[in-house]
Amino acid sequence: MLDDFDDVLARAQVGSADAFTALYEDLVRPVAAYLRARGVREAEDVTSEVFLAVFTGIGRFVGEQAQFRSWVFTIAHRRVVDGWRKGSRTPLEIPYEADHDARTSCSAESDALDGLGDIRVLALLADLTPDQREVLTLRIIGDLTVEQVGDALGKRPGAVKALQRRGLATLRRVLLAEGVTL
Amino acid sequence: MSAFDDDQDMRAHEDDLLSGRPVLSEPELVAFVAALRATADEPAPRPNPALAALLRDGLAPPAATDPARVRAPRHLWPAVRDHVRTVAGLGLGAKILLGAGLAAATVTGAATIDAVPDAIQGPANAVVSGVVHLFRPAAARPTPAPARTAARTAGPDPRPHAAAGVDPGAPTALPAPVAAPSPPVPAPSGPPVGTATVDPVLPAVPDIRALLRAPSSDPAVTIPVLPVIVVPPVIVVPGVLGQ
Repeated sequence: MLDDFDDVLARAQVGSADAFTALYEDLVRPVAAYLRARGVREAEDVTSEVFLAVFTGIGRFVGEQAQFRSWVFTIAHRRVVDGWRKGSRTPLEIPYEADHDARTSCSAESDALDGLGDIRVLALLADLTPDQREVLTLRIIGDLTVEQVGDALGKRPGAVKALQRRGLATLRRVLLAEGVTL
Repeated sequence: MSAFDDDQDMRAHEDDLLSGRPVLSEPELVAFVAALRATADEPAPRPNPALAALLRDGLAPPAATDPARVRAPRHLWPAVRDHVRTVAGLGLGAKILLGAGLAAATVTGAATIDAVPDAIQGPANAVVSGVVHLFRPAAARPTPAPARTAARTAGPDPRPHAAAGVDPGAPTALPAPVAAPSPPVPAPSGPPVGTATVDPVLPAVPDIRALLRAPSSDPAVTIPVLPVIVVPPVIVVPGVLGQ
């Protein structure tokens, strides 16, 4: 989060390189993580495309920092959808393989965090429907509210809450079935 | 506890879970959320060349433009849009009439405006003259005027005595007047030198500009400005289109 967001935004809207860099460094990691979680193969390139679109359109943005974050993730979401429509990028489906499972014990939360690596997390996300996955990644990685997710996806808050609830229920069931006791 | 309260409690529980706050009752999901959040702590990807240039150099501020030049299209476009909407709202017959009227006005203008090049004015003149000829009353149509024809064409006439320098109005088949006998005019053997040839079948094309400038009392030069073109209706049979 930027402490002087309003000033940075004002400078970015007149093309300041320093302001672009500040905004980029604030959001590039969650945006890249969101794209990876959504299964985008060329996540680095798409991340750059997202920020190019953000900076070239930032002159039209009006709002506060939370709204700016929501706007950036909305652009990222649209890039993901565009990529799927073009057929050049497909959701990354990672089948579960025991050899790749780094869990050796499930006795403590810290061990569980180590065991639930990127691959395992992506595999768990693959158990969800695309809409549930979209909602949970925007809620968790993007730090967006239910209303902001609804705006980004073009859904009503009630629909977002239902998807979120069903997604969490699926994850709960899968984690318990696999005996991941933490 | 009401359903609303249940929903509020459930939402608060999920908000705590998804925001990474510890929820003792669900350690598995807490671990999952923490692991998913941790993916955002990985090193930032390297920007592509275009983004790197943008981060290094920034963007040039938008150039100040003359407000008058920017506003002009904004005033112009609504008017154009209104006209387009008006035309689009017309029926098929009205659109055909409008198009025919515009075409007729264009051809008439091309035939009468002196600034139009001859390459365009000549064909336009012929077209308008043909239309004018059709719309003249039969009684008012002048009989073939050999004098005008000869004067304009100055070429060989299929009639044997039509030649340059000879009054072609004199009927060649009639006997010469007794009071003023004249020797027979020899038939020309070919087009005289210095004259142009025209198609002997087509009637002579009158000068449309002269006709338009003529007083309107002359019934022979009454010109319909916008001739109506009647288009036969097209009957669409759905069964035929589907095949």
